[in-house]
Amino acid sequence: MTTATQDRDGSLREIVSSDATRRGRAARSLARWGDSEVVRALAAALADDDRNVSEAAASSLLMIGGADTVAFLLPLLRSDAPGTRNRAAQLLERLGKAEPDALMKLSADPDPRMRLFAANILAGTGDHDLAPRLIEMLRDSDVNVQDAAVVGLGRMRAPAAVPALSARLSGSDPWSCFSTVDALGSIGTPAALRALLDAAPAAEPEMRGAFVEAIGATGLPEGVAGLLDLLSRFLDLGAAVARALLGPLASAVGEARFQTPGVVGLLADILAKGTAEEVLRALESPAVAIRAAAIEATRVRGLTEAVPALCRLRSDADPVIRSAAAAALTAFERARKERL
Amino acid sequence: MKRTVLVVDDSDTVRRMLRWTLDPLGIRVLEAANGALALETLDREAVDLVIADLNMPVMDGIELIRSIRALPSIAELPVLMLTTEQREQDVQTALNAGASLYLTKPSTPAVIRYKVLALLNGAGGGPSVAEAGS
Repeated sequence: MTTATQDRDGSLREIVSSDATRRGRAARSLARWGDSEVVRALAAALADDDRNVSEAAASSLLMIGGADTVAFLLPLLRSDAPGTRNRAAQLLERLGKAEPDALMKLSADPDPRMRLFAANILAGTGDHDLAPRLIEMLRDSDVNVQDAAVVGLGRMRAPAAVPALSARLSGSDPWSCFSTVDALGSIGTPAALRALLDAAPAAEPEMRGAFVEAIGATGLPEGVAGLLDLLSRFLDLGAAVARALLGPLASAVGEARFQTPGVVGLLADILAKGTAEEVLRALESPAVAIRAAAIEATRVRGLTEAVPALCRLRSDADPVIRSAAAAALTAFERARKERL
Repeated sequence: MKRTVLVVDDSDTVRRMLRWTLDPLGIRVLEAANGALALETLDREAVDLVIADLNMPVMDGIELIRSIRALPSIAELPVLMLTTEQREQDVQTALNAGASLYLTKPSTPAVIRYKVLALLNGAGGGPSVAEAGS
């Protein structure tokens, strides 16, 4: 018997010993072998009560990989212990890409819990070749599986799913609608944005904020134009639209076409009601419209903490900003003299 | 004073969905992606209610509830478990661990808001109950 074989056999004995430190050491050591007996022992160790042991077993299984490992992990999804099935699902997300047939089979399992795991795992692989199966799962008989497929397609950012997801936007279930809107926002392609902009006006009032957030998440300049149009129809969306324009759409707002008094006024109004930190951050924005709005907000709020930033903005590259910063500083000075 | 709810779920979408659901109630929503991160948040923030998923990486919802119940300073904190797991053994495990309420998906924003308000007001924080979501 060679030393290596003795190490292997010894580790297989140690991984079921009563001492957690020894079990953990054995779990790490067994990564050097990848035969079925070793994989079976490591898969069993995923259920170890000691977190260090189960994490060591997971690391070793990840290093070994292969069809054998996937085959041993799949049954663990049916474990009664949430920790065990979660660790198995996590590993399958990392290893399943190499064994797509096993995932396909899981996605057709009679148990909806297994199909739900399959949707999550398929999405977690990030493999767009698996997106068509997730798109099929949008028609699963179980609504939770459908929802997992929606979320998964968003997580995968699968442009191929846009038509199928768009068709779900007219559904009446609010959470299902939210998942779909959110997924389209995550996919973030021009087609996904178009679907969101087309559906938003007809959405239930309580859903419109979710649409605004998803449109903002695309980060696309056309999202800015679309949100301004939406705002002209639904004035109660002001705060949500401004949050999107100041957040994920901030760089898109930098386009010259959005430097209008209307946009600046909207943003200034929201900043005037927000925190001082938000105003100070907005003064540093690369978008002229946002800097202009922040300057207006400092004036409205009498935000003296902004004076150093306003002094810097007197040398801004944009003449409108230079002029507005100078005017704001003059207003601060006038107010100070009046107080004296 | 605003009430604070900690939402614990590994899905970004579910966390955003619950934030959107609770927003009309004027509730402050904190987020954590797993039980371990939730415990870190509970260590530094005053929280009035936890909504937790069951299946999560690193630390699942059951371990989270057991940890909360073991910490005297937060042992009484109501915990609503919101999950797709509908099997009786999962429900029993969660309730035995100390879940205040076990709610299964699919649910609706209206049901969640009602249950959250009930737990925040102490009406649902008594005997553990398992309920279908809708």
